[in-house]
Amino acid sequence: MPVKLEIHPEKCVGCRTCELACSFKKTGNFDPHLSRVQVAIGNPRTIMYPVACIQCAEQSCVKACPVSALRKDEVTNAVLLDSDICTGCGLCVKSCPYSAISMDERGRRPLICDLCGGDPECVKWCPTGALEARKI
Amino acid sequence: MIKMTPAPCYCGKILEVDLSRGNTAERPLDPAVTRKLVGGKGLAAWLLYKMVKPGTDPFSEQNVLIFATGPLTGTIAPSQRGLVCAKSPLTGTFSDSYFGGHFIQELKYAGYDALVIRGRAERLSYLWINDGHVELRDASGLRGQDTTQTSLSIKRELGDAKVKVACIGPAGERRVRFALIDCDVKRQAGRGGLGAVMGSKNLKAVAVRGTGSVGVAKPQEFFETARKFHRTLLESEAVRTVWSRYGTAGSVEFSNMQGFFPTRNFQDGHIEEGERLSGVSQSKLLWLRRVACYACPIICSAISFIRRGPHSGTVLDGIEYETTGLLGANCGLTDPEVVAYANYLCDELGLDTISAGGVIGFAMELFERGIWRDPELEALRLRFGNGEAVLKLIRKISYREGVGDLLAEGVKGVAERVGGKAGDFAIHVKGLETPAWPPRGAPGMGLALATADRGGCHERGWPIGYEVEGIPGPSGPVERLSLEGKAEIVKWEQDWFAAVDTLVGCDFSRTGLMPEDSAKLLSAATGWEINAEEFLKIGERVWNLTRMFNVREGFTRKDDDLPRRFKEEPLPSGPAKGHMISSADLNRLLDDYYRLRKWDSNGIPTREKLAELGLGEFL
Repeated sequence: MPVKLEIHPEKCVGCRTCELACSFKKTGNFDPHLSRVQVAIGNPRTIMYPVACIQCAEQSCVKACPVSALRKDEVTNAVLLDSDICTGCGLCVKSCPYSAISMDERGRRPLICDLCGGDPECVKWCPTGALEARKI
Repeated sequence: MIKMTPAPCYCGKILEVDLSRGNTAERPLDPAVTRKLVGGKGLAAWLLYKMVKPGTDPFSEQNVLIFATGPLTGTIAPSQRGLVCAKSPLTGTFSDSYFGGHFIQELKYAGYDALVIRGRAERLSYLWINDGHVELRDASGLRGQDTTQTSLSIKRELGDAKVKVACIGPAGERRVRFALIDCDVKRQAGRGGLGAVMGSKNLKAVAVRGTGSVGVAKPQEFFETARKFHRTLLESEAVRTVWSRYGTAGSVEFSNMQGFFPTRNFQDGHIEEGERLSGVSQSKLLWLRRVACYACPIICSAISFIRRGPHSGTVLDGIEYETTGLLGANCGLTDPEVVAYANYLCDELGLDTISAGGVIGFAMELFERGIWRDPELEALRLRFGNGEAVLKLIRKISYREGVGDLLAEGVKGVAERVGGKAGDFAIHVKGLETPAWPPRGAPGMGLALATADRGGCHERGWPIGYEVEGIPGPSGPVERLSLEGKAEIVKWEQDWFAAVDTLVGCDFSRTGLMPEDSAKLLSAATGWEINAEEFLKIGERVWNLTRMFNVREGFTRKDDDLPRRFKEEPLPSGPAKGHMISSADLNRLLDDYYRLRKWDSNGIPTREKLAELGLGEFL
């Protein structure tokens, strides 16, 4: 089912549980640096903001990719990466106006939310509903 | 023989830094130690016992400062914290202080189960740990910076906003004996003066960046168990109706009604208009938004903003219950804006709010009674309820200016120096200023304060829940003011707290997670088969280890004592009006407690007990 990740920063409490859930789902370990969602936290914590791909209409990442390793999935609405084609150039990271793509420096592959196939794990763990998977 | 390796949830490495010699070393984590003492408090207590010889001056190069993780640190297990530990300059005991936030997880992601710091740097420095790369950097430019500035300056210097910092403020630099360590983001290891130990080592901060991962023995089982417990906490009544709505300040009304709210240096347990400091009041006047520590569904904290008065525009974390009690009622203050600003100053300059409120309230009483005469106190008009004087004293203490230099020694130090009758009004246990849960009206709480390993502390056992709120103890319900069954509750609480502290879990997780729940998480993380009974046994083992540290320093039954006020002055108001814990009562409680613990009548663990706990080989 196609969904869209909705982010409600005013509800975020900065616990970063989403990062842990995401990294476990993707790697089997707890490794927030490999999470597709990253929580920006200020000091003082007047600002807390989960950052992840929101499946925007612009799709500048898809357009920026020189080898067409990124595509929009028709079924889930997610932007999907083909790791075999990807060269790790990082143009998608630079192109995203929301800073929603980060780079796995070890694997030299971009980290982008794939919506867990339509049922995002981070949403299930968020204690306050700051992350929401909205059906479209 | 198969060589033992630590379970996958450990990094298997301890980082040791000698600031005097300027060298660092990675030591393997001994699996035999983790199997017995698990991590966190157990690991730190063992390291401290081995590395710090009895009689060591807490401010000497020989004292060590230990940051420790636990087996669940950095995983998705709910409500995890970190701990820092050293021999305390306030008490001379073993001293461990816990903090939420994100610092300790970063240390584990950098590859270390613990960080051990000894020696003293030649000049003010900070430690930079970038995964496996360790470097001591000059911090002379950071001298005098408050905790927020320090954290931000270091991130700017290192060019990475994701660096996590633990640092001291001006108070720690000046070795104020109750200086705190501020841990990213704005969570404090407050108690016991460990910030002063850090200052004595010329260490302004520890900055960490880690990009490693943490694995567990049974990933799917662990993940699903953690998921269930996140939900348990999120849906528990206490979390839903109190913690996540009003935070720790949700206890103000209960405490003020039941006669525990420390008022005017603990003279009373109730203050007029105390509700102005309650969670309900704060949520209307001060709070901007709720905040949580790492992977925590309890969400007990709040970012606050002072909206009116001379300090409007100030942003702070708080005000926590303990701070409303000690910096508020204990100094005769109930104005939320003034207490919030006092809280802010303590956080930024680097003072433990509990001890700061304790020592200022004490000074107020000494001055009002004419026991301590000083022109500076006269000029401050140091009377209960004078908020301006409290704010001025917080600065004077932090910079050790004028009378602040003496107050920086803590209640016990002030009592000794002022002399005369001052000791009669000194509210501390073993030198640690007591928290906002005084024992008149709950004798079990008295025993818990008297026997807590780091001195007067409510986070080593909190019998008030059983005595006043009616939670059944291990042998059923107890009468509030009776001595019956209280030692058993204190032992149960201390063992449970100590076990949770090895993980390192937050105290508040105990509102939803029972020992069998923590045991399940520990089992799935390590691959060991641990049940509730064994989990509590770990706690008992660790509790005996910290006791042995204190015994070796010369602490015995005579030190398991309460302030004179709690033993001789009846509580003036509230449901427990007239109650006190006489010396005879305290002695009866201690006899019961030592018997249950299988310690001798002088409070020293017996050889048999230590052998039964498998501690013989460790000591």
